Amino acid sequence: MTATSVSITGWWKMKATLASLRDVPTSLRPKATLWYYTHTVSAIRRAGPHAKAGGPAPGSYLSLFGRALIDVLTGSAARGEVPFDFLCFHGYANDPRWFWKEIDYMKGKLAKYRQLSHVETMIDQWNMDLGNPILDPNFQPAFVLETTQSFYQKGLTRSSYYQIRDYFVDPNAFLPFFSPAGTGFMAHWWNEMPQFDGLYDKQNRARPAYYALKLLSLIKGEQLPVTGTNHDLHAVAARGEPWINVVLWNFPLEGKGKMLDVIVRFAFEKRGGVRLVRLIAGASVNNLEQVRSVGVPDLEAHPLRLSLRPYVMYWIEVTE
Amino acid sequence: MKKMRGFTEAVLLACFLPILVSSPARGSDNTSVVLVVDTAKSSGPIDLTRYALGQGGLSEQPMILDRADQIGQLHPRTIRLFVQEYFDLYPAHHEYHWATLDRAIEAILATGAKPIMNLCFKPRVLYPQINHEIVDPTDYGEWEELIYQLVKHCNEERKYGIEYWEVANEGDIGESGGCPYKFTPQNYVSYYQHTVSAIRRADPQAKVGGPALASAKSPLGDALIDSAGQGQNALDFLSWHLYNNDPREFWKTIDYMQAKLAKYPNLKNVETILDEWNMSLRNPVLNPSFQPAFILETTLGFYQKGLSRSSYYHIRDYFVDAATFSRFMSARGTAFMAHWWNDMPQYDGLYDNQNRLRPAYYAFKLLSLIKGEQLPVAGTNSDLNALAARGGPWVNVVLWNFPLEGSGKPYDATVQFPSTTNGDVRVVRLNPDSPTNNLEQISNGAISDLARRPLRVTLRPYEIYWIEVSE
Repeated sequence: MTATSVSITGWWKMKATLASLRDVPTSLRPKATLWYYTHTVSAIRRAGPHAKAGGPAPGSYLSLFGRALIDVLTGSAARGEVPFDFLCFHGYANDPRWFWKEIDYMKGKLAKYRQLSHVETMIDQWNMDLGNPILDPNFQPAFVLETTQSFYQKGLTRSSYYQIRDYFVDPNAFLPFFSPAGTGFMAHWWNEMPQFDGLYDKQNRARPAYYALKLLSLIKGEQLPVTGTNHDLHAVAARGEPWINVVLWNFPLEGKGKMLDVIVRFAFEKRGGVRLVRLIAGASVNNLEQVRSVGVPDLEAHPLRLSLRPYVMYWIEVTE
Repeated sequence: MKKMRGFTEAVLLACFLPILVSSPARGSDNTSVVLVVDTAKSSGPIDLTRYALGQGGLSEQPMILDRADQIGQLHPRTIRLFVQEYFDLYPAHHEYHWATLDRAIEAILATGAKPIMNLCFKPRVLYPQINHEIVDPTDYGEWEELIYQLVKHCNEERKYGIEYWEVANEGDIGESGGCPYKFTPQNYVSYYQHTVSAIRRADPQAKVGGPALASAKSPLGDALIDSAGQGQNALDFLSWHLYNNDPREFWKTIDYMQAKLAKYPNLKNVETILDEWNMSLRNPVLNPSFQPAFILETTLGFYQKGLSRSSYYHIRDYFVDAATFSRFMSARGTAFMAHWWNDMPQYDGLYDNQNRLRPAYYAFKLLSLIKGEQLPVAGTNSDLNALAARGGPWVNVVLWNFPLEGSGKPYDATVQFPSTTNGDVRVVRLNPDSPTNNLEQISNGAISDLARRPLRVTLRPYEIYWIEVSE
């Protein structure tokens, strides 16, 4: 499973420009950006010959400037003119399929050059649509699971969920390197506008999305096949000795979805215990709510049945 | 395929059941109103951040320090601080200890606010007997020197730039107000005179006042006003407190105090400060929507009545250490404090005893946005109120439903911006029930779309909406 990466140790990203200019104070033309990239990467590699260098982190695959920049960068890298270890890009959308298209697009860019087959792909900022977020508290955690599963299936190398914690900005800290308009934008965006991104909000309260990433972290070890999923119902399962973890969720890609009644069976487990836990996204505490704890042998008489409304998720842990 | 040990297969059998999705319909019994925000016309400058905050006198710890960033975003101009005996400012004759107080002051400065220093401490060396009715120190000369050194330390040595110095806290009710002084009108005026004289000697620009009455009608207030009116005392501000669920009661006290001051022409510049206020502490209204709307409604009245400043009580609920209070309060007074703060449920703080946020925080956040040029809003009524201001490229409108009589009724409000044709409009609702995302974005779109799809919101009693127009 592609886990969200929160550490950049050993990874150097040359983030030259964004079409949206959300975070970057300068806008550079593609060729000028390549020049800047070349100098920057040269210095990085001189200091750390094994450092991985990459970029350019455009705001979206739809950015015309980002597309042009990637063409210039991949072409130059394929000719051996610049080191290029990873191609990174951003996305904010409420539909996980948008990210699939973005990954396909970026992989298509790399596939044009045999020499770039080793280049990693990273979505290093992603979340719901920031302008029009969906505030059903169940949505964001299910969106994290659904989107991350597709990262895995599409072969994305890494991702960085944006972000860990919403935080206020100090305009005086930005003024030395941002224009007054840019500083005003940052201060307004982070200090006045309601934010919905962080695993923790500006008051340091955990959002339910935290638990989605927690559950994903449990899917580690030997992956186990799960049959019976469908277009809306998804699951991932893994054995990490001595526990088996299953995470399942209802994420309708079309329309508003429907309630799903699900029976979960463990075809080869005969002993041990089963704990069924539901994410209660609307609760202020005890968000991971234990629904049932039962011995595996009891499942034959009393199967594990659960109802998943759209965007609801369950976690099942089997202890051998 | 790699063989898995103890291969396990999880089988999901899904069957599909229909679900019903209902959306709340606009109530047919709702009253329809049209609010018109005139973005082309300014009513003059407005800045409501002088209606600010206070922190209870509960601990020598810098109680708000770990929330300084969040409080700073409310842009309070002042935060009232109890200069209480637990800071141990005067441990022995002619010995001063400032470090603990400095930490509390610096926590306030970290928010961008300036402290209002409420002087309510009672050093043991000047008050050997614990008795709240003993208000005069054993040596007024030594007391004045202590106050002089305190002000000098703050404004000369540390350069804190503190303007407001308030003499005593709820001295009309003694220990029940959380401080060890119970004054009579006569001894308050005398104590005030000695204290203010020392403050002004250290800092001639300092603003001095009091008496931070628990009851606006206390004769302590009359005594102070009369002595100042007759030129016997300096008085820059008159302060009092109130806890009540009805905003009109606060407004009445402002009228009352302004009338008292008006009797003396030389007091016409005296500021009025309501420096502790909140819902009724004994009979709070616990509908989570109430407190934020109560803050908006009451503060609007402060502004309209011309109140100079206020300090909402308070930033953070906090436990008290009974042993600490027993050093300067009676056994009964200490037990009262410990019971009130440690055992009784509390509803005051923007943060509760667990450091969890209350929705009231967002009322102050929204008030802080009403800064710049005030814009007139037509169509409000006795229940439905609004404030609007242009600040740079943004126009902010805050509207709320606060029924002053009865249980109120819902309003369907159509909000119009007749002179604004470009830009975006974001509509946000305060959702006080949600554990996160309390400022819930309802819509975000081009203002030009409003001609086709008017901006309509339904405000049930105590509901609050915030509309931001980016031009």
